[in-house]
Amino acid sequence: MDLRLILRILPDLLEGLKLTVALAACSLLGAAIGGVAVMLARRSSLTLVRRMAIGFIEIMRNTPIMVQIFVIYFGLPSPGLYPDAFPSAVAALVLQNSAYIGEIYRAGLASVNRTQMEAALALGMLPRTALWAIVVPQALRRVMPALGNQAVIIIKDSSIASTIAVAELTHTGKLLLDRSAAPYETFLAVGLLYLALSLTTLFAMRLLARLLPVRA
Amino acid sequence: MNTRFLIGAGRELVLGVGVTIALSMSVIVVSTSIGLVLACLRLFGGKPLQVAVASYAAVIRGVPLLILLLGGYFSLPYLGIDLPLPFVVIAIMGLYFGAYMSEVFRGAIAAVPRPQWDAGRSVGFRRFQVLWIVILPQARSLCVAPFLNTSLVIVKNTSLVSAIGEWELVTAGREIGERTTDVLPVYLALAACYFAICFPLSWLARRVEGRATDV
Repeated sequence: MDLRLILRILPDLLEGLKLTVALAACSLLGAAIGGVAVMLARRSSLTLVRRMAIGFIEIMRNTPIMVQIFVIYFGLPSPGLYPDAFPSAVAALVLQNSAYIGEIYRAGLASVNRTQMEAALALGMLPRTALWAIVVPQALRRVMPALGNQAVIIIKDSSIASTIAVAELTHTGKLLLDRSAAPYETFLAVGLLYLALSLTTLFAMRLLARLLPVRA
Repeated sequence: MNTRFLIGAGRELVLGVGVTIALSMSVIVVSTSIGLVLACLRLFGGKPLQVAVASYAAVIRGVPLLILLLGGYFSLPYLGIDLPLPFVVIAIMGLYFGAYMSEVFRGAIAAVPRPQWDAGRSVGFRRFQVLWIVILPQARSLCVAPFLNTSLVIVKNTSLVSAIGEWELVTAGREIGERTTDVLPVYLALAACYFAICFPLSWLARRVEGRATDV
């Protein structure tokens, strides 16, 4: 174990970490917005829209993210589209996690007791106001822990972008290994950086949950 | 869409499905065994053991599987350990998902209401008897759904072992893709193969989830 080697490769790894953070942040943001669309479609009053949402969720839940990345990056050139590696990885992560986060939102809304809505309506609130002022804030508070977990899953899954040569942390580690031939040091350092990023994200999400107006 | 590759190369996809299922089942068996041991240590071991197991689970949850696969694959030869690749893959994935499985079992045992323990003790059972006769049968039905969900994650994550050269479904798909010019149908077929393996698992998990709530 050579600690000096870790210090020497650290600047390169931090460059990779930057791209991992960018990848995960774009994907989380995209999926948090996409999740709203999935949730709305899943709760739609139109049967066709609802069925399509269920189909989308099932396809995303039951196929590996790696295969989704390959379909987009290697598959789309067949019909003539040539997406770059980074957008391909973001697109796959956004698609898959919109399905998961949509279900998280749905469960959060369903967990708010129906009587909350009824009480708000009885007080004379419009349904729209009751939803946004009473139900959504409570649901948001309950959704935060699950969203934090999903953020960590996105960070970990972003490592799979290394298979299509996005120069993120895992890929940087693999390239450095080719030069240094020091596998423990390299992957120990990479693993610790991922761990630090995951823990920081969990902590940040918990802090964010504290800032929400409604407590659990 | 060109699906003629299925006639020529369908056999390879079927073989890939077989390998992925065999790999997944081995990992599920290994990680379940490790998970059961870890859950028992976490619940009934001394304080230092509990802390050790909890930190192991916390570390595993924060590190991508791909890093452990790459790290293990490249480090083992330097340690003088030369095992066949499938063993390495099953061992690393078993250790990784053992941490997740331990949480599944610990959660299920902890979810059995506390009064069940007290009631068992007050009838005159010893602690171990309460666990074996009263708690575990109830925990068993509680852990089925999370167990199936973790198994689903395991099946999907076996795709990662293609990154260190273990031949399975993704490798089969890539090999077919490299020999044709129209790649999209090949990768869609690959996704369909995974769907065919995973959908029954997630369907079952959801059915069981609905039923376990009345425990």
